[in-house]
Amino acid sequence: MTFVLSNPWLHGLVFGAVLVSVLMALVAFITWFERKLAGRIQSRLGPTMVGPFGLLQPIADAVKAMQKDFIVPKDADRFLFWLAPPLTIAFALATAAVIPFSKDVLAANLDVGVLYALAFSGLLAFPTWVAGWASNNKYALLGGMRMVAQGISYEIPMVMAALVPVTLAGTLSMQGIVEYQVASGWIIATPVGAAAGLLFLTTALAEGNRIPFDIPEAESELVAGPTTEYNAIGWSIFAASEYAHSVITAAIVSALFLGGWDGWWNLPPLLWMVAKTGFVFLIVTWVRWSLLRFRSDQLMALCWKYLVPGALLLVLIAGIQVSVRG
Amino acid sequence: MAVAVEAVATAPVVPTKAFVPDPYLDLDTYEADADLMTLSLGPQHPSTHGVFRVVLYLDGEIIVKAVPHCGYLHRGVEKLCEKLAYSNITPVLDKNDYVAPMLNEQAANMAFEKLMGIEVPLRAKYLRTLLAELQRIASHLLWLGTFAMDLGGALGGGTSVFMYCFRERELILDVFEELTGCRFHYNTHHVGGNRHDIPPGWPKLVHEALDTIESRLEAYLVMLEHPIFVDRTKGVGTIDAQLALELGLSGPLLRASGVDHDLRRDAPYGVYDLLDVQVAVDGGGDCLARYKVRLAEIRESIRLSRLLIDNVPQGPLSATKPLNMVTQFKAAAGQVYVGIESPRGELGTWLIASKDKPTNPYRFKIRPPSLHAAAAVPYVFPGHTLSDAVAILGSLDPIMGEVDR
Amino acid sequence: MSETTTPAAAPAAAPTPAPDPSGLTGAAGVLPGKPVDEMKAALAAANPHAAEHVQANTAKRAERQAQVTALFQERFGVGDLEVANGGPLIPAARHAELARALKDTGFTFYVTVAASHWPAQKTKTGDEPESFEVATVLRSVGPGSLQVSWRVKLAPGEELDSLAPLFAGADWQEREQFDLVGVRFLGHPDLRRLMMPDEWEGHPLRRDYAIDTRCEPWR
Repeated sequence: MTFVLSNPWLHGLVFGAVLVSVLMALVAFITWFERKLAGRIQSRLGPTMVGPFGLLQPIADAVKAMQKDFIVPKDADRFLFWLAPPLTIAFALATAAVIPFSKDVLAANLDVGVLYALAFSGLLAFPTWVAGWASNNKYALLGGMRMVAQGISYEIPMVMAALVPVTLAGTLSMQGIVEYQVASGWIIATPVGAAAGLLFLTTALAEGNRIPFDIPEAESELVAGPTTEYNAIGWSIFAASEYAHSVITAAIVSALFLGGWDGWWNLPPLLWMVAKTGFVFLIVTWVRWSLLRFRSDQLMALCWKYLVPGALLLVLIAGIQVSVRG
Repeated sequence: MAVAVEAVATAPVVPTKAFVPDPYLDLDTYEADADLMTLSLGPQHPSTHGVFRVVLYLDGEIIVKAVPHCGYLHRGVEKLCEKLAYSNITPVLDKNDYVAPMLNEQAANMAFEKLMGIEVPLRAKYLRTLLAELQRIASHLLWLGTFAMDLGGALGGGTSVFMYCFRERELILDVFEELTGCRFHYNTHHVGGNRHDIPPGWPKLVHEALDTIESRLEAYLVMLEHPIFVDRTKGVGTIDAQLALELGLSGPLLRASGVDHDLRRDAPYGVYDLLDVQVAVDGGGDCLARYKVRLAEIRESIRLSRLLIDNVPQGPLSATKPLNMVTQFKAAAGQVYVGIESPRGELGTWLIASKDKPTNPYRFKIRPPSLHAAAAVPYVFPGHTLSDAVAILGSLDPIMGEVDR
Repeated sequence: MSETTTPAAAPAAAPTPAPDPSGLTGAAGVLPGKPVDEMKAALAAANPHAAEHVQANTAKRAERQAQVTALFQERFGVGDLEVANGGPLIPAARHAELARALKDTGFTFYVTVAASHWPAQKTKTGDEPESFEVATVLRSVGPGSLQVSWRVKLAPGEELDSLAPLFAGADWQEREQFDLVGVRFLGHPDLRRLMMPDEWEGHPLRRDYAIDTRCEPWR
């Protein structure tokens, strides 16, 4: 065991495999959770029929999706059409590698963990664009273009918001930031940290293509955006990667701003991390089922007129704070 | 490139970007920034309210020209009505405006009665008015739900509003079911009166339903303070009073454009002459104004329904006995037009009877308010983005069953 | 031209309700209801302005009616407005002129156009040739809203001036009538079929139109 943990390659391989399996199982459960919560918000029950409390519903859905024929449109770019779903899920899951679930449970303790996570999160716009392009469908194309525009725009305030904990902690390593928070209090507890956390969550919603920023998908306008032509398992992978991305974003928010695995009452750190992630995901879901959607130009205006200047200001304040502290 | 984009020759005739919506815009004379993209919105599309198709010509994401196509739900109702006896037409018409079937029945039967000279008993007129007001509440609630879904998507906050609205509408349908036995296609009006009399406990049920709806209505008004909702609707799809009149828009659409006109008050039928209908008018002309007007109409309809249900008069419910007999009703030769205020506007019936066949209409023409709402699309869409187009179409609320008939 | 409303005079309140020919009321399980007087008093108490509206409507409608009667009489030489018959017959050539005159008078709301087909008939008084009738309804807006309608008789193949340049709302209504009845409108900006497919043959709402069409997919 110590051999495995000490060799970074083996360590990464084992943890990666475990992480992917756990995350995918979690994603399945999370869809159930979201549907149940949405049902409660909308004064209905949500899934109830399959298994106790409808818990087995995601499995039934997955089986159904796998049974279906995966149809590739006649004029689609077959290779890219096939490539887009695996790319999406790969990029979404790759982000999870640097998330510290406790002091030891972590796939790769990179020195540039934050950068790595943000980079992969930003890359997610591209498989979506590939899907939109390859589908040979105007709705898909429009959705893909919107995704790229939105992904690139929101990347900027997102990175700047992440710079605040980085500046305060003085490290780019996720584990380092969590350890800084264990030592000197959660970042969310400071005013600048709280503002940055809120900003990061907002931009993460946009990056993750969630309401009120789900312009690329926009069912009422673009049918299903880039995934219009996808069905069966291809569509399921897109859906799963969207959930995976949401969960991982929630985990990053917990790690960067909410103290990560830090907690009280001697509870296991892993439990704290999972609880915080769940809490952030709850907020994300709640927002999704309560808000309407922005228009694309309003979305851009929000980003460039308010979020980017706000994020700049926060970075400035954090820098001053650090320099005063010495 | 995988996607076909329609190339458009440019000629320096029309100054670019100055949008005066022109439904017959010649695309050859339009100077686009890049190639125009032709996007066919519908007929299979989540937010076209049935099967409506609009061909959009997009310059970037701005609509330059919109060409609507309808007829996908054409069922030949008018032709069918020429073959049916007067007493058999009502159930067919229920399917026209399937969101407010009561009003379809009323409009046609009022035309029949006028042509035949049948005087409807007061109690029947009274009940028809009450049912129309209840149906108006249900119809506007359904509109609000679908409109929110257009704004917020099928998997998000929009669906939440949709579910709430359906929950409230359900109460009205329950009340109707109690009265007529049907939730949707009632067939309760017939020539000369109504078919189903009020059961003794019914007013209590109506009161309960109305109380519940009114208490929950407060929640919808919160939407007015919701920044995203206001951003998406304010100043979007503005129709000024002149254009609205030109286009023949009626009902909430006309009133949202600042024209104070409501057939219930201005040309009363039923027992509206005994009522003081507060007509909601908003000068905004945009989607927000249409939302406000419809919400105000729900409140007014609740007030009127409460009042009406408490004071049902005595008397017969019908001047005729509803028989299933082709020769029961015979009309003398003549032509009449009767228009009533449906939730969507002026729902009219032009009825021609000839000497040769007194038992059937010779020609039966419906004036659907939704047809004019759908016809407004090429005047309102240009200059807006695709997202706004969906919001505008939602706020115009064309019911395709009625447009295509 | 016809009145939209039945006048306010509802059947007089009888102390004992009249027997119901439908045989539905009076049965067990039916809400008995209030005496009519009581109902009217209750509604009047809750709607203090209802009577004012009726008064204003009647006055305004009488005024408009007088205007319309004068217009028809003076400019078109029509004395009888033939309310029961859907309005007076106007020569096809003066159709657009009448619409414009009415629009200027205040009938700014375009209601509907209804075309009908009258096949050739042998009658006692002589043979009637095939003809089309186009009825148009306009309405004034606001209190005392009054509707005006008139008819135009057309020979087969004859075209009628379109009202679409005058009322944008006439656009689709006229397209529909062209599609279903086959009356052509002169000067219509976009006279295409509205309901039926473009390649459809015939006009379904003609009286002699057979349901069994010649078009292959819809047979």
